[in-house]
Amino acid sequence: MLAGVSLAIEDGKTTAIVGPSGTGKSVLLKILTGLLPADSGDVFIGTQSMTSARSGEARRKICSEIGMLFQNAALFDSLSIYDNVAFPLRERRELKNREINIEVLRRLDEVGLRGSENSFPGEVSIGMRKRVGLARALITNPKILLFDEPNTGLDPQTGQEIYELINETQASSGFTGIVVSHELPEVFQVCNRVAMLYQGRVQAEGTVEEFLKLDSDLVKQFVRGDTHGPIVM
Amino acid sequence: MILVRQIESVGEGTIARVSAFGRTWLFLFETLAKAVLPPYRFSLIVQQIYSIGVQSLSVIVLVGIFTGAVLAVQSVYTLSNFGATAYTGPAVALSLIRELGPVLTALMVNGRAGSAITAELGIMKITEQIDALRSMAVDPMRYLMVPRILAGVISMPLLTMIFNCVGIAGGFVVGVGTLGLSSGTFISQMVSAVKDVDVISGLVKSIVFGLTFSWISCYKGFNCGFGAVGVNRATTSAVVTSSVVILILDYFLTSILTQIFY
Repeated sequence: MLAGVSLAIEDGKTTAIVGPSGTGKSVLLKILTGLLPADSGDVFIGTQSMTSARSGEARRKICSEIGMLFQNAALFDSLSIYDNVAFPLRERRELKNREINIEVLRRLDEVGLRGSENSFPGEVSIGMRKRVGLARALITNPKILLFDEPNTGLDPQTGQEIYELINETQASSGFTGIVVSHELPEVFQVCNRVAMLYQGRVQAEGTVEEFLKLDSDLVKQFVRGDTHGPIVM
Repeated sequence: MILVRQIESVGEGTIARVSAFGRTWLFLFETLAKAVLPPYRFSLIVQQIYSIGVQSLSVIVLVGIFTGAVLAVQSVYTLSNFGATAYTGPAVALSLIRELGPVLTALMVNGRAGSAITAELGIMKITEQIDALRSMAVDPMRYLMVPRILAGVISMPLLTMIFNCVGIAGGFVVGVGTLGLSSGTFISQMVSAVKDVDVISGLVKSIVFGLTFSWISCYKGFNCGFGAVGVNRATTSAVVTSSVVILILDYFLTSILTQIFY
């Protein structure tokens, strides 16, 4: 599906990976998190290689630097919202329960869900589940945060709230963000740089302004949403 | 050409089945290896024992009572042809302890808890919850599979013993209360006929069946296909496969245990 993706993500900024459906954006995201192995090549976080991190300890160290908001939040159905957000901290076994409690409530406050901690994922809306997913992804203060189609399944207002939340948390936490999305132009409000994936390769890359001004039929067709052009589905 | 294609498809199908068989065993070995290494998640194991064991109690007790009752009825009417109704107690007890207790308990628990395990893990897979665990460097085998398989192995012999007890009680009530057997004869003949090796062989079977259904249920859920259809197929396959394997294993275990103990 991917054939020679080479991408450098700028530290402290958010990069959007865009492209038509089925071009491998989510696959790329899963390779970046180590959920899928790449047939060849490597992923580096700073100077640390993902493929060479085979031991449990090395893998935990890398994973501690990455947080991910999945497309449907991927919350654990059998745990309450509080326990979902607390889960990564409890697994690390570094903090006492009191300290975990403070952190969890702070993050729930940040995403506007204080008061919902005893609810279960099945009892709340998809927008609230995404907020919980964001709080869970942020709870370990990761250096890198990945967003897989953060607005999928949301109405425009809720989607806008999620994007505003991403901007606010990025401003306060300073993480490096990677957002996978096919929603233009909404995704431009959360990213500094854009990379377009098509036919397994990065076909275009640059800041939002550079991307929109590119003299590329592929980019123009994708941005305009035309059905005719070099992009064939 | 058509013949070549047919032969090719037979070959491909055979390779696929053998590969799946191998992957199933690798799954078990990996889970058992991780079960013995720390960290141990006792709270998760206890949760699963509650889910698999405690929540199966009512169905086990109900089925046990009526199984014992039916055994008593059948035994009395068969043994009366030989003037041997005094041996109804041993017939009921030995049938339950050696055979029906482990097998019926396994089939009931498999139908109830095994299907629930497969469905739960399948839904976790298709909603990316397992991926979420991995992204947090939590090993899904250790977190999800090990507690369920250990809980299956621990719960089954306990449930089997309960099944046997209520079954014998059911047989006693029907035999003595309805069919006119002597209570003293029922109990004394039963006590003298049931040996330690009968109980041990029944419990060995129950442990093996517990491992079998929990292993197959976990494997099917963990490897289910996409969407609701995938979960549906995995759940059905888990229950059917586990049931068939339990019955096949029962034959081989009975043969082996008979050689060892009798």
